[in-house]
Amino acid sequence: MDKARPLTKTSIAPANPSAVAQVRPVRRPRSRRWRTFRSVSAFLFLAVLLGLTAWNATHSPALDRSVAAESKGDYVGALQSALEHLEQRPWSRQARLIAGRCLSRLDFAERAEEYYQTAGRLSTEDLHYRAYGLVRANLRDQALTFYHEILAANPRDVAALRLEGGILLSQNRWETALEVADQLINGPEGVVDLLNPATVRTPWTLRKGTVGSVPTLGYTLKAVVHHDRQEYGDAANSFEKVLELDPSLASMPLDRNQFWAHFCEDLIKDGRSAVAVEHLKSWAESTSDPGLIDILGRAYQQESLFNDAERCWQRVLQLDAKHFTAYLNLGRLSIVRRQYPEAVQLLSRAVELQPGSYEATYSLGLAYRQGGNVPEALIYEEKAAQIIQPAPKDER
Amino acid sequence: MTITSHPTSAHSGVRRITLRFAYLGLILSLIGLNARWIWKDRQTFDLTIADGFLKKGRLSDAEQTLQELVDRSRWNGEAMMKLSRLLAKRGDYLGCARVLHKVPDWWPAKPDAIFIEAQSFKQLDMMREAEVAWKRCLVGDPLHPFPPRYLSGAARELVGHLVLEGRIDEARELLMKAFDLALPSERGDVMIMRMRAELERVAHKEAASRLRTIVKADPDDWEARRALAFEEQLLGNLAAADLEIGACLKARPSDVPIWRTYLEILYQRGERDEIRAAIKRLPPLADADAEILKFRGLVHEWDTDLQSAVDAFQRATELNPREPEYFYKLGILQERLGRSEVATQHLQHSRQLRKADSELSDAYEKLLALSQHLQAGNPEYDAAVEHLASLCEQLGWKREAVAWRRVIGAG
Repeated sequence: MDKARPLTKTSIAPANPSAVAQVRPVRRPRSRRWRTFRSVSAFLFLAVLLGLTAWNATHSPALDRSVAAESKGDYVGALQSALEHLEQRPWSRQARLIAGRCLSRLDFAERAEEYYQTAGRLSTEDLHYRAYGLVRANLRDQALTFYHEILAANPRDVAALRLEGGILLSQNRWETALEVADQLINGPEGVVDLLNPATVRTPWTLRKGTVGSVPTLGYTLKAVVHHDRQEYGDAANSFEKVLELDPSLASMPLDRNQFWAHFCEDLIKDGRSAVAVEHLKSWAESTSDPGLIDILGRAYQQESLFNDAERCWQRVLQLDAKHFTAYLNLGRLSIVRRQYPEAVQLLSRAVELQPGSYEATYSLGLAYRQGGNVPEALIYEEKAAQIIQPAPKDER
Repeated sequence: MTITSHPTSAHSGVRRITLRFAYLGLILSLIGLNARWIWKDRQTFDLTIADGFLKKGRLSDAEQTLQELVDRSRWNGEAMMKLSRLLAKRGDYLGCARVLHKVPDWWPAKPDAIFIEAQSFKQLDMMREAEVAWKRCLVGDPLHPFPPRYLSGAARELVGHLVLEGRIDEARELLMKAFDLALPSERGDVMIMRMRAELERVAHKEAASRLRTIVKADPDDWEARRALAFEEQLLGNLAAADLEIGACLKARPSDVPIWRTYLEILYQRGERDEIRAAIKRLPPLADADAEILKFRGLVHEWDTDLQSAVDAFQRATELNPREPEYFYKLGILQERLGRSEVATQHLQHSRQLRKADSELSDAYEKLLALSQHLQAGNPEYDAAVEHLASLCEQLGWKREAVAWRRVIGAG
């Protein structure tokens, strides 16, 4: 066995020169240029491959389909494709956001949370989708958290302020709602861009729109808060401010009929029924809303314009044959006019429609009494007394 | 001169080789990863091919293609709906139901999927699964309301099933919930179902036959086995009844309805000692059941402990004030204790309940006949409904009375 020898020039020299042909030629060291070329090529290849990987990691035909479907308003298709993309690429932030937004729009707000929570920092628009989805799912406190987040980033976000005000109103948190109303009143002037819910049905979406007068939103909110708190004078003043700022009611967020109904009811209760008649006269003629015409009737009645009031309530009954208030008011009017048989007839119908109404039962008793039918009067007076008196303990 | 290899040169050689392998490994993994993504992304999710097969009537090819699509994507509701229809067409109801179960909740046709899933399980006599699906139709989510056509269909199917298994209390609750969810035009039908649940029963022979099929399809359906035990008892098949109720008690020793049925069976056989023994083994929750309290009361009565019997029946009347039998027994017991005034009250109340109960049947028949050619708004029809409402009031069914009045717009 050969002993290990030190490597010397002589030891590597072939003993037999003919053996040189059999020995593999020793590779010559590559030139520096070649090595550089090889390294650069390898690096470039790796870079290209990494780029391709990065592209593939974030893109897929499913994601493209999802983006296209969302922009077309096909939220089910967008959600399906986004989830298909997430199956292969669970880290995709874009797909998570699409999935979250689509689930919100399809009214699966709680399920959308899973995607929003893992999508990192959300844009203002995404926060709006998240919050409004929660509002619709009646998760109002959670929705408020996200509206606060939007407002922390941009205290003048009108859409967030408006919806926050609406939530506070629905929660009877009057003082905070009034603070929000003040923020809107002092909000930006002129035309402002905002995100608005495009439809109330499922699936809904948010569309970019404009509002001509932000203070109008604030005064409307303030008016509704006062109306709900039965502060009729303050409510009427705020509604008047709305009319002053926005005479066409283009920026006023309430349904028109609701606006006039609230406003005129507040005016009547504040003793300003003449103003209510003035506002409501032209509007009530063009509407087929029995509630509004009934309010106009009450305004006329308060102004002692009984014929006009009667005309209004007759029209209400033409529109809605089971309108309790119209029967009650017409019946009371007949008592005032000493037309007792008519009063009994109208008030009997009112009692039939709402047997638990103290006002209708008492008025019917009164109509009988003043018409001279004391036995019947006693029956209804007793019934009325039972309605307001608490039931005995053992009957409850 | 001796040339020796430099140690750093050897190290750099090793490092170079390691680097080369690492580079190669990285390149290969990246190529593999990209290839996998590209291959996966090339898989189609659209239904064109399957639709083409369906148009040409090549159903098995269509089924295979749809199955592949469903396996590939658990979100493709349309493929699932189409596949389920094909499976149902060739009689594979289990496959159909399983596919429909996978349809995502947010898919617009999910209500159809749930209802058809329930019907498929029903076809297979897998009533536990069918019941779960029917109940999902009646959840009443305001943001995703169920189409009314499925609502009343599910209620009808579910009530039929609950009545078959003798689960009348559940049927009552469910129908009143269905009433709240129904359209005004459908409320009358729901209330008719409510009365049917009270007045109509499946003939014992037919019920037993149906329950046997259900138990055969799903031996773990303990509700069905419990109901079958009782029907077998009523048909005189005592051994079969023992077998079924014995299996139920063994599998579910804390199930109160099973104990209630067991006591009923023993009572039917007049086995007082067995009832005494069973009462001692009752699960803790049993005393919240009026029928079990009745048996407790009977045991006390047999043991001449009349006051304890009165207490048990008193509690039973509190839990179920609609059952005339409890008031009758309470009256008799009070009479035996010499409290004739209280006894008369209970006996009178029992008679009133029985009278209202028998009148209810006539009033229901009359309304059924009238509903053939009249509807709400007609004075005769409204009077018939009002009569039913007042009978419901007498029987202590206040919700039903209000509901009947809402049917004619008087509530």
